[in-house]
Amino acid sequence: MPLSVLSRIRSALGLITGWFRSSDRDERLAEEIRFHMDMAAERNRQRGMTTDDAARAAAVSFGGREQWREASRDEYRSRPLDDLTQDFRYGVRTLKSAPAFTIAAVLTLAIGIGGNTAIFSAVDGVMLKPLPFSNEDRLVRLYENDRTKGRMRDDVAPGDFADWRARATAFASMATAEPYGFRLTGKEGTEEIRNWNVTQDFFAVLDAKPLLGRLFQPSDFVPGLPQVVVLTYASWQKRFGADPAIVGKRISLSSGQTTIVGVLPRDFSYLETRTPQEFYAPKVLDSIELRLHSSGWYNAVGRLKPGVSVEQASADMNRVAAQLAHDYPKSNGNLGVTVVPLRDGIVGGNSSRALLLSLFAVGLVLLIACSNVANLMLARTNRRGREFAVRSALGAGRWRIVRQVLTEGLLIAFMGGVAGIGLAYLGVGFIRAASPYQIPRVDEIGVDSRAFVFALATVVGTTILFGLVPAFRAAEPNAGEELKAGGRSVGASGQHRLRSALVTAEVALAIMLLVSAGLLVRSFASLMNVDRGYRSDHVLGALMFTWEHATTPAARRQVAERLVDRARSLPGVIAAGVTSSPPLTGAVGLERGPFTIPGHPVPSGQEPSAHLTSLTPGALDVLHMVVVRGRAITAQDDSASAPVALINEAMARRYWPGENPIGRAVRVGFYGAPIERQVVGIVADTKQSALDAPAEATIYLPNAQAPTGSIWLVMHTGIEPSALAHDVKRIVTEIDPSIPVAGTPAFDELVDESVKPRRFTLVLFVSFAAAALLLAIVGVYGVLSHGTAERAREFGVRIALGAQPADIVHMVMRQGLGSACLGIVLGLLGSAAATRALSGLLFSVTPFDAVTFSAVSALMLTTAMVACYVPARRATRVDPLVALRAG
Amino acid sequence: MASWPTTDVLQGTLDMLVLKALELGAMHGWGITERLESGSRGVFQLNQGSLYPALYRLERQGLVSSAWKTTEHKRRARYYALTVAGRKALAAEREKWQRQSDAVNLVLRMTNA
Repeated sequence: MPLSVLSRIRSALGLITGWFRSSDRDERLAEEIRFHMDMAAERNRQRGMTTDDAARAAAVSFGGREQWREASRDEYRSRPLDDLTQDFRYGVRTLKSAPAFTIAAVLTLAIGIGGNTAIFSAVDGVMLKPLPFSNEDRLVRLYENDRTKGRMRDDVAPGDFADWRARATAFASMATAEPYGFRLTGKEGTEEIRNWNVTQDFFAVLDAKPLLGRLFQPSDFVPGLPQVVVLTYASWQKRFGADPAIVGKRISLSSGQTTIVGVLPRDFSYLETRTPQEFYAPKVLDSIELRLHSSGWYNAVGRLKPGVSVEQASADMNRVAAQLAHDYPKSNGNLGVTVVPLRDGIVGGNSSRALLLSLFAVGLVLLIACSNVANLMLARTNRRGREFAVRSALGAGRWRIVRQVLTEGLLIAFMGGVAGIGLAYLGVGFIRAASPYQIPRVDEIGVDSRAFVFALATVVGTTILFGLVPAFRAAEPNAGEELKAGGRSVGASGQHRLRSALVTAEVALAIMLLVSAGLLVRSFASLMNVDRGYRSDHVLGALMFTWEHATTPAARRQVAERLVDRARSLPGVIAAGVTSSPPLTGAVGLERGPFTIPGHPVPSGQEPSAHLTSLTPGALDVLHMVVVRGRAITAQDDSASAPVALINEAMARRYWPGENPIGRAVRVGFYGAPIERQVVGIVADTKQSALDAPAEATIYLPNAQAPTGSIWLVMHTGIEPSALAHDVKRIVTEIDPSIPVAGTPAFDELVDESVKPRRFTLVLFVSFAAAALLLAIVGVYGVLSHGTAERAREFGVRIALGAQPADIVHMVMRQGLGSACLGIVLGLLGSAAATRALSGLLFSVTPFDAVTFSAVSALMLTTAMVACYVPARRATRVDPLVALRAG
Repeated sequence: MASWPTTDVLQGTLDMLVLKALELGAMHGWGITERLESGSRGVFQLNQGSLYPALYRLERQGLVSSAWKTTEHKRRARYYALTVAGRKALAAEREKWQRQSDAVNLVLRMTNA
């Protein structure tokens, strides 16, 4: 009979549901046949047969009754699956009859499986899924390295890149991308948007294909402002409403019109940054850039020739680097090239490492969950000893009983898996919301089919982990003894040893997680309490670029003065100033330049370098920077007076060790030729790039003597700083409507953002550790209370013989705390071995931090004591008479 | 006595005949037997038991549905009814059968032309 697909599916489903209902069906079939026979006999009688003949004739016309019965049964169930069906139905029934056990086991596993699936989804999205580029194994990222300074992954100077490209032989193509920004003028006003400026082969290297229009062609690469751009998918969606006719439209960028020639597909993603790049523009390296051989800001990517390995490419690039070191000894003498697979270049880093460690941690939680469920099942198989004995006496083979228990385990694990996937959805939502932008590809994270496969594999894996031991325990051939013992469990002591060992393991694993979380908490606390050297509370900043509006130093100075004046007059502003690079604001405006100290000649090209910051006197007040020696800069340090500078303590320590730098001179340039400036004061070190980075040598120059165009207007506010953001934008517009304001962060937010990756890892680890502690304590409690319940008769005897409640409590607690203490010791040993892996995530805390180790031990010991005390108290309340009679 | 065909080739025929019998209205197994016997004017003398595997098969395939009902003589019986899918399957089968029997007839009428 030809069947539609739907009927086929229904037919298969019918077979499956038939397994569950086959006994109902058997009854139904029997009744139908009985009815049929009665009716046939009735007709035969009406035709004149005797009652006996009528029945006999009916049976004959029906044919072999058993044969048809079997043939019918075959239609609604499939025989080889009978045993499995039976196990399954039996399992469902057993679990239904023990709801407390089932719920406890399912919830425990749900926590383990859910946590693992969520973290797996994150690891998978960030690190495992292939990049959206063809022949990914041939793509590499190239960095400049300076081994003498321990810097292995610096961005590349444009001049070096040009030489690499010309001289390397291992590459089919090589390109650079420069992070850049333009002002886009549109309907909603002027906005600063980010882009990548890319050289000719960029899209060829990545083998990108356009979604709409085209990518770049050689004629697009002309010096000067870009004539054409290619949009990212996200920008096309967000900014241009996914306009299908976008190709050919013109947009107004900074000082010119440009044409959109194409849109990239959705899955094309290059490096991600705090503010996403919205488009790609063609870039031609100009003659000035081609001469730059140090301090670069370009990304370099390359596609290897077929058959060339990363190692061969590295060797090739080392050869090129050696040539450059020879040709440009001043700049390139110490420089080498690091070649890494592009994947590593995109997702390698501390965040990915933290994710992997989280996966490991959540794996430990799953192990604890498994041993907990194993414990629960062992307790149950113990109680069900008589049931298994009866079954095996009735002929169930050993394997059959193992299979029965494993089927129950699989049912529990499966339910745990379903609940776990629900938890994973929540977890992934949290990860996406809480993950810092420093975690790349975070948009790729989702509970998808790969996560489902992972969860399913976890379900099967955990079933084996927690089910196998109880299953074989259940099948142990001690039927005779069980039956003789009349239902009281026998062989309980071996069982109990096993369960105590599981508890010990749980406690040990939980200790490891608690120690890890404790170390991270301590690190985070130290980090937040670290002396930052400036104040971030009640500070608002506004970043703007005035280069094109104020083309001369005098004009830039004037813009800065006017900004400060106007800001001071805003209600709610206590102090205002301008600085080129406030702490934690990133690389924009942060200059790094060479300096010399008159009287300490160094060979040309080997001058030391320092961070250079230009600021107004007000900026020191706003940020509460402390002058530890000498004086601050003042309004009198203007363009007409003698050039002065402040230095930070790090610089003083390094270049004037044991001397007084005040009154000495440094020779340094700031957007201009180097001039001699007198050091008039030393300021306390500030955390410039990150709270956990040591201060670098820094020179502060009065803005009046070193005006710059990348400036932050900073304000100390008496009110919530973000409330002033709008006013600040307004005063900037009033001074010059064409000056774009690229952001108005409250400085507390910048601090928050800078520690976000740490906080993220911290939250994950603390959650896992809390889950581990909870599960381990439940394990301690469960085993002990089950143990005391089993020994009620013994306690009854002891009490009858005069044992005091204190003796019983003492005895039970010693037993429970024994396995917990052993677990604590093993856990501390394990931690000592494992926490080294965390060292990259720690801050001013050693991996063997005594405070953490002892606090965690105390926490575990206290909770374990509580968990042991409850069953111990219960043991003392055994009524000897009742206990003895029950025997 | 012609026994009910049960070979694989003709199993589809039995299923089709059962569907046809149910096209006249919902009926229990015994009633279907009677309908088929009288419909074939007694040519089909059933090996009646084979009806039940067919009914269970059709039900699993979703071509018929079944429910307990009371007969006119106040006895409980399992009544089968065509589903929408069953109606479609019957139409398809009927057309196929028609074509096949036409072809068989053509062959049988073949002469030495």
